[in-house]
Amino acid sequence: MPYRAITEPASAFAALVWACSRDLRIALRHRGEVALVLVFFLLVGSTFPLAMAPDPALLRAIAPGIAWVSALLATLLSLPRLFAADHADGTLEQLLLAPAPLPALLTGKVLAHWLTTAAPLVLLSGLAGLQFDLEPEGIAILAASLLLGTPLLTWLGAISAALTLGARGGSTLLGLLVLPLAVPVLIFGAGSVEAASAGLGAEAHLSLLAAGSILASMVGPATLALAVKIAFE
Amino acid sequence: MSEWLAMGGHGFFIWSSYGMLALALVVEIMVLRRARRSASERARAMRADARQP
Amino acid sequence: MAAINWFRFASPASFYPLAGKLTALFGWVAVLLAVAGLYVGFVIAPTDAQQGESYRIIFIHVPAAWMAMLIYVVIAFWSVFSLALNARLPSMMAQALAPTGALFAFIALWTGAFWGRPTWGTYWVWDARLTSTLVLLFLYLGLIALRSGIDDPRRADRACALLALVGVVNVPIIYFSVRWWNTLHQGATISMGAAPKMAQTMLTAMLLMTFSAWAYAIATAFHRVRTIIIEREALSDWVGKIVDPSIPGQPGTAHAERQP
Repeated sequence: MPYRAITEPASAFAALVWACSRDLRIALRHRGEVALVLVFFLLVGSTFPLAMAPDPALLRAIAPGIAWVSALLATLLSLPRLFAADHADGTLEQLLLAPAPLPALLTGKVLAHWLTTAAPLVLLSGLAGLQFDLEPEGIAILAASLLLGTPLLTWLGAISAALTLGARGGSTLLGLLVLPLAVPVLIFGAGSVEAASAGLGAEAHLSLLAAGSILASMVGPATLALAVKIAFE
Repeated sequence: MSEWLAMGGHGFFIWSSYGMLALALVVEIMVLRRARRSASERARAMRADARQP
Repeated sequence: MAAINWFRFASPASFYPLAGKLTALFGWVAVLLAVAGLYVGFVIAPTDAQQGESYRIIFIHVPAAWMAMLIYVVIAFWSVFSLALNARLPSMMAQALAPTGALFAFIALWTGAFWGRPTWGTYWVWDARLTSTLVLLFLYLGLIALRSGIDDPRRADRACALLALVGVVNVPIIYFSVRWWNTLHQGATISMGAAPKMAQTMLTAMLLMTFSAWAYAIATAFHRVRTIIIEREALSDWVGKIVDPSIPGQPGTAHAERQP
């Protein structure tokens, strides 16, 4: 499927749309890779009950934590996909030289990545919730927390992935960089569901997640552009 | 003296803490010196290579 | 003081001898302060009514925790200059500080565990400060791992600088989120912050040890940066005089010493 390369100076919005639709088309071609991440999410969630006694009360209590850890690990697993292929075939270098704003191009890539990785996770969280016998309100809050928290996670992951481009250590190094930074998201994401089930209301948690994601989306593009430029010095 | 070492029964914890600190400092300083020595040797080797016509 | 042109020291060549003198100076300051601090802490400070003798661990636990935090901020400070000025020396200082910072974080965790056991019964508690220090240790390890994973030194400089800045912005967020999380899950009603009501002598000893740790960190950083400078400027003339003093300078084989 041919795509129109950027040949004349493009506006930020046009660049974003171009990069996003390109990555979406590529993801569509490699549906297996995308599905793999989602299967991994459910798999990780399933291993916890297997590793402990499947006591329903205990499972319900730890469900939010496990769901969020699984989402975090699944996102981590999918991050190399963001830049690896483009880095290998030289497309990323082309993007650096293209007459379009680099932050916009990269935002398009990040958006496409979120749509193909995190957004399906939000939908799948219902299944994860069922595995742990989470009540419907809990599942709704879980889905909301994933929806609001994964953009922040994706930006942190994208910046870390750019910094580790071409570095030795691969996915493990990426994990070492992302996981500490992801601690607040984890705390407020899982905490939102626990707060809801304790009757305390999840508004505070969810607002904080939303604020974090909005902030990340504002500073993320420029930071990511700098990280990618550093990778090509 | 042994009474002081016992630290009112908490000797194990106190000396484990200070002992680990002492060990860490010794290790850090040893590593620093060794790194300095090997850096100098590598620099000498690099310079010798550069002098080859 | 004002007459000194500080930018003279911005090149590795002129910074190198200064760093050497400062290493020795701060090394001795650290030793003297530590001797004074430990004397006050063990000989003069009294036994605590509640915690007995085990509280004396705070004389190294608290300074280590503070230094772990402070060093990360200093690394971030150097990282700003590293990125903004695209200069080598700030990057080298950041690189030199990271291992010592990680060491202090580890010591803070270890001594925290050995203080916690006799005082509150367990070696580890997930309280806000210890947990944040654990995350801080991982942040340090990330910096060190990224540095060793990238082969090109200048690229590694800038990648680590950006990572340090992303990290330093996150550290307060991590701390507050962990504190929130900790107060919600109030299983243990203990707080590592509940140090014994400080007698003046205890406070004095702790401050002396803190300044000792600070001087030690400076000394090791300057020593380490000299090694880094030798590694990275190996082919320049002035390094030759240091590592190969017997061989006269060879014109034409050295890298020209460029401005940072």
